[in-house]
Amino acid sequence: MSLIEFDNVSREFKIANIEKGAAGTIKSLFHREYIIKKAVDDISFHIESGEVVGYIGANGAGKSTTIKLLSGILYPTKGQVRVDGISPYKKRKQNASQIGVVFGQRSQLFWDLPFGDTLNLYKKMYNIPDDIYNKNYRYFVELLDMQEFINQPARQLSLGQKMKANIMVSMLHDPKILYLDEPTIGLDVVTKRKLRECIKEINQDKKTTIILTTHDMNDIEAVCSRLILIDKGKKLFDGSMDMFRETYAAGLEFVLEFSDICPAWTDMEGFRLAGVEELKWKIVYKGDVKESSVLCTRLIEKYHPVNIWVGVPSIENIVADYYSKPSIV
Amino acid sequence: MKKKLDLLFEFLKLSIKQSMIFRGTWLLGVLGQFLNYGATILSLYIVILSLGSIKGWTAGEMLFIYALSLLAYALAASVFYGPCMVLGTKILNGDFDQTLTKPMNALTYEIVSNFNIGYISHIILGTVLVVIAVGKMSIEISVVTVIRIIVIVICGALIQSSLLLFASMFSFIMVNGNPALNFIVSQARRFIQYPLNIYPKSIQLLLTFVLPYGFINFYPVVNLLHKQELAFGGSALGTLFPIISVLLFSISVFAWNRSLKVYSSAGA
Amino acid sequence: MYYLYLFGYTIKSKIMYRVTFLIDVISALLTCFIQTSLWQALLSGNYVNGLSFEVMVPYVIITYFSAALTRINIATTIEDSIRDGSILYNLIRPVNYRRYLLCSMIGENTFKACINTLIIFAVSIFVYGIYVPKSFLCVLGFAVSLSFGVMLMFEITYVCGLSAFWLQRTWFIEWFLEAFVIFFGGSAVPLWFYPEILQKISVILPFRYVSYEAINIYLGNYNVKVCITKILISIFWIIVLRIAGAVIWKHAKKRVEINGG
Repeated sequence: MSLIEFDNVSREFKIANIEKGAAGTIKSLFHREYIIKKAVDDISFHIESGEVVGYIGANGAGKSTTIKLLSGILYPTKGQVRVDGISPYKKRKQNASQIGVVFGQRSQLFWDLPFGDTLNLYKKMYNIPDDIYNKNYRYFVELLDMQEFINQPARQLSLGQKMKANIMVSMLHDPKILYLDEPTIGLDVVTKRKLRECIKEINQDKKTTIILTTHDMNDIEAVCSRLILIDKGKKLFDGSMDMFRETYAAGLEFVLEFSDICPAWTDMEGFRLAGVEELKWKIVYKGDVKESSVLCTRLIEKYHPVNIWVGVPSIENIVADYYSKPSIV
Repeated sequence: MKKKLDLLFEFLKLSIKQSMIFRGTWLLGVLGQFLNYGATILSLYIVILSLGSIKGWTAGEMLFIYALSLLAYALAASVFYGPCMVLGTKILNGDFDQTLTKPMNALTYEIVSNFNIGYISHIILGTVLVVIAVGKMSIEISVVTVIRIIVIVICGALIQSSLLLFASMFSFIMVNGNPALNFIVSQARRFIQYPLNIYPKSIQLLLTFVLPYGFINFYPVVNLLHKQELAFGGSALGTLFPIISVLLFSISVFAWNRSLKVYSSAGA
Repeated sequence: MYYLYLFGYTIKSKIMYRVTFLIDVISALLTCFIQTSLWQALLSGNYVNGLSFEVMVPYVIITYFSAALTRINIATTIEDSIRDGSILYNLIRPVNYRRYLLCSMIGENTFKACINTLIIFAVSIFVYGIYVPKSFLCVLGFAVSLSFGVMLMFEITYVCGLSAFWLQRTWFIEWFLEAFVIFFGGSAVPLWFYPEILQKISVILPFRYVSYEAINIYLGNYNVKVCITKILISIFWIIVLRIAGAVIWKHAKKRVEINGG
């Protein structure tokens, strides 16, 4: 039995469809049409204890809905969700005491009170014994570097500090699973990097299973051992980072720049023209890469570019390619 | 149970602490509410005094009715105003999802985290007005009378609370604002600032059987002051109010928890 | 026309919510109904100061109308926008903040207030009959007086609302303002019921010029000369508050202090 079992889960929403303009507004007074939107469409995955899973997708892909289904906030329309053997929406409270949830940019801190007061409250809410509380308190204050702001009111904290504080609040009761919904959203590069290290350390020290949603590939690359890619409610990929690279990222990416006009593209085995941008071509090569110099030479001889760049495709580009499929000219 | 109480006190402590951070504005707020209700009832009192009596009620008795409606509302609002009012916004901006990640009953969590000590002004004003009114009414002041008045206030608060809860449930299905709740909070309760018998019969029936506002103060007071001839159904409804209040309150809490389930299955 | 757009937009988003609309009408009707019932009960059998119940119906409706037109909580609006930082946008946009607030008040309230009042008026004719003003001049004077009254109320709210720049919590301001309007503006009980001393105090305050004097003009309680005096006084108050508002705003701009990061 896996810690998290997500089997053939679908989740639909009914959305009122209101036409634009005054006529539409008036029409909506009397009659409304609804469209069914599938936020999660027949998705399955299992997650084992101790894994760090990156859940990635564009905005509106269904990431948050999945987190809500897992944390018992929403019922699935179809399928079965099991977290640690129980159904999160049927036993919401029981499930809640086993998990920690942090929604990026939503704070669970008392706005005007020192952050320390909020901690005390959560100690009581989760019935945390003194010894565990004290141990965790010391651990997180040190890990997240919080000595300086522990007595400041939440409203005075920076975005990064708030995120740290929220993570600490959600981790005090030693939950088995920590859900992080867009934890790095809006943070600067340095803070992001620090936060990723902290998340990694929490997973190693506490063996907490962590699921984080993001649309920043760097988060996943830095922290996760496994990646689930979804788009429009459907699962596109599920596997290790290495496998993701192998399946989608094997090969090379070339950028060719021309002096005045782009020549005509003719099909070449293994090559694909992935994008055209003024005088630049983006070409993706799939397949065995043993001698990149040979590949370069073939391209140069055929098209005579003025400049050529060669690189390993970044995951960001792969995902972007995924979203914009008709980019093939 | 002890742990639950502990948690409740922790929340209370925090909300008091939070209010006291801006104790200047908090005190001004208390004063402002005091003045606001004081102005309403004082101006009305002036009129009734100059006119003698109104539909069988003296100025003192009118004051009593008004004070009871204020007290019932204040007690109910201390507990339920916060959670009911923020519910719509919380659902809209996603904060309610956080509530659902807590290992507590969602209603309990919303109540304790939104407890409002600001209604202290209503409560003080209401109590003062009750005392003044009792002095002006021809009623025997005894321990029994005091207990009866306390029971009326508590039951009234329960009815008022259940109305707030019922209205707040609309927030689960309506995304933009909750007119039903605004209606309960700011309009409907004005009905019972005055005795029901100043309204036409149809409205009296409405406020008895549809929106049971009459049970908050009118019917109990009619029995207390032996004015049965003014009330619909004589003394019958005036003795039923404790049962009705407890029943309504239980149903509203039950229904709230049920609609939470509906929210999770329809939700946003 | 930015303001016109804003106006239209607010109205549109108002119509969108039909249930809200319906309940709003009902609740407006009830407010007025409770008030008239109270006066009907109070004045039945009593005939005080030459007053009869029929003048109380227009009193209740007009009081409702002016309150509905001026319903805006500037202090909280400012407080919220200071808290989330959006006040900065209002300071850098080429839009006068005061006018922005005024337009959103008009856009937000006018449609609702007019529709509700029309419905209330229609129902009241049906239930209580119609009160015919003594002359056309009364109606004209009333319209002018009420227009200035609405502007006056906006200026009062605006000046008080600006205090949000100095206070961190402002919810109490609304309570004070309403208390003053109730007690000295005659919005719960007409001032003519008041003892002389209270009436005298109310004369030196601006609140009675919001709607109470307009009602008096409508009911034909004043001759032309008094009417004009009352309207001039309300204009005087508007000017005084407008100047005060401008001065305070100048200081407020310097004080914009955004919480957190």
